[in-house]
Amino acid sequence: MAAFEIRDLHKIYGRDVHANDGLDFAIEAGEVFGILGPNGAGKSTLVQQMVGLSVPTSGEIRLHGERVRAHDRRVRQAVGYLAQRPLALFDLRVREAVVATGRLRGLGRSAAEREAKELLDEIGLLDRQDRLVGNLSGGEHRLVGIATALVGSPPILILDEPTNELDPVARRRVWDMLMRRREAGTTIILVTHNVLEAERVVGRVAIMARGRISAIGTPGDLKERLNAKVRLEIALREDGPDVGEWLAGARQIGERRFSLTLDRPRLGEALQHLAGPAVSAQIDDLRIVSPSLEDVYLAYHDTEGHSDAH
Amino acid sequence: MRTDHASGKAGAFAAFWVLLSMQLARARRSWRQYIIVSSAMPSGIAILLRAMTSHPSAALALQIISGNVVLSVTITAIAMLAQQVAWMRQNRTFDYYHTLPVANSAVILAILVAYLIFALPGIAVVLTVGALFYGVHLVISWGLVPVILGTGVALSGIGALLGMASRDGELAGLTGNLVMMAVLFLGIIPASRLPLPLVALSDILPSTYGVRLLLHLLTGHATAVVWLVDGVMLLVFSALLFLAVERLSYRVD
Repeated sequence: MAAFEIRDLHKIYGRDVHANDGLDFAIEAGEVFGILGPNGAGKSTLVQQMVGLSVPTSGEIRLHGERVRAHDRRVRQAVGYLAQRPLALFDLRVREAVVATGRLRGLGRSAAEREAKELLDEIGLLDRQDRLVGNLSGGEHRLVGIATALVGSPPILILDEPTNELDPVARRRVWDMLMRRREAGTTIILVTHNVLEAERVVGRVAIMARGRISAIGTPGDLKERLNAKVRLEIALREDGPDVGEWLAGARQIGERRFSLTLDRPRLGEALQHLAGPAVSAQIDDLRIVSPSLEDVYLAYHDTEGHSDAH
Repeated sequence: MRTDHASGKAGAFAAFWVLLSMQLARARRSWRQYIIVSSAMPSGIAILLRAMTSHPSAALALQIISGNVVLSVTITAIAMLAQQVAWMRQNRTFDYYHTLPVANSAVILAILVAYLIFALPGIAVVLTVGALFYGVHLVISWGLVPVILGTGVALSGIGALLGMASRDGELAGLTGNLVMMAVLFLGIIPASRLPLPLVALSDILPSTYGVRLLLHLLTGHATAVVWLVDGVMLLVFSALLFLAVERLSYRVD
């Protein structure tokens, strides 16, 4: 049975702001599901309805087959939710924040204490367990939020931008933690615009743009749909003459580094041009890259959710 | 890594205790502020009125002391709590509680009780200052506990309602101060000296019943009739305001 089913979901603010516009998909129990999309795509609105903090204008959300209502007790028991900032915990010490959340999820005092210690060790905050949450950095707030979402081992996790503001070491630690939960059977719903990181852990992904789903499937499926395209990454020599005209339409991805997406049939023609003596002398590095999830994301995020993208 | 799940529901008392502890943790940063703010103004007013009146009667002295005790509760329970709740709503702090398997009534009760507890040092200071400056004997009895609790919960309910209804902390602070002024005047000035419209206004403020009960308790003359009339009114106000806050805090868009 699906953990969550979203059926023809509409959320309209005011008269005509369609934050969610006819969403229709399911998230299976035990899968890691990514919801990707740019700011304003409607991801957080969707998630707030899933956890009962907001109600749909029309359509429905079902948890394990039963309709989710506002402040639904079943959702609160089943879901560990990571919101944007743990403001409610700012006056508590780090360990207290995790223990208190665990106790509110029904753990006994000693079980909550034990689990808090394990989680803080796993997430790398054990040495800061006695500091006030409000005195921590933005990234550490995030880690405390993740620990509170995980304490009590809820069977479903909904994590809104879990790795925002984290340094690379902490990011890796968090993804490793989530992968261990995945192996233990936890359903994980990740809301993020960090596509490269999400690709490591998600089983399926929905790409949202302007309140709609532009594409949904496994990263492999979605990349397959883009297989008609190929991407060239070109690094130019510092002292080389300008080749801007040839690179018209390319995306600059670094200093004198460009990315150019082409239809596959045009690849031969492009390589022939690049191999010419005048141009090749200006090229420092050239790579032919298969589409990544980021390419899928970029390709879909401007499609305004046309249904033919599914 | 542990994989066993929590029961998904904390016992009511355990949950309330955890929630109250979380609210009281606020005192770690702000305890000086709570003591100073809740005691300075009511004590100052009591001293000022003593300086301006020669030989005040015992009845007037007790009215002033009782009024300022309730004012002390009002400062934390209305002025400070209204701003805090407005800030919590604005920053979606309630989302944390509303995504955990805990009753919203327990969350709200914990917040109201916490702000009542923050008022206790101020109450003690006002009673001490009042006894010293007015030279009256105050009867301290167990009856004060439910009266202060009831007054505190009712006034915290007003503070929380103002916070819920305000679009931001600034507006909540402004309206909180206006209500505080009303409590100040209507609590300290005896009803016999107030014009009729203000007497009517005082009837819809729970602080009026708190002051009256305190007045009788501090003189040792709280009769069964007083408890029945003022005590029941205080209880009704507390229950209604609590339910209103509980409902409002649970609003969804």
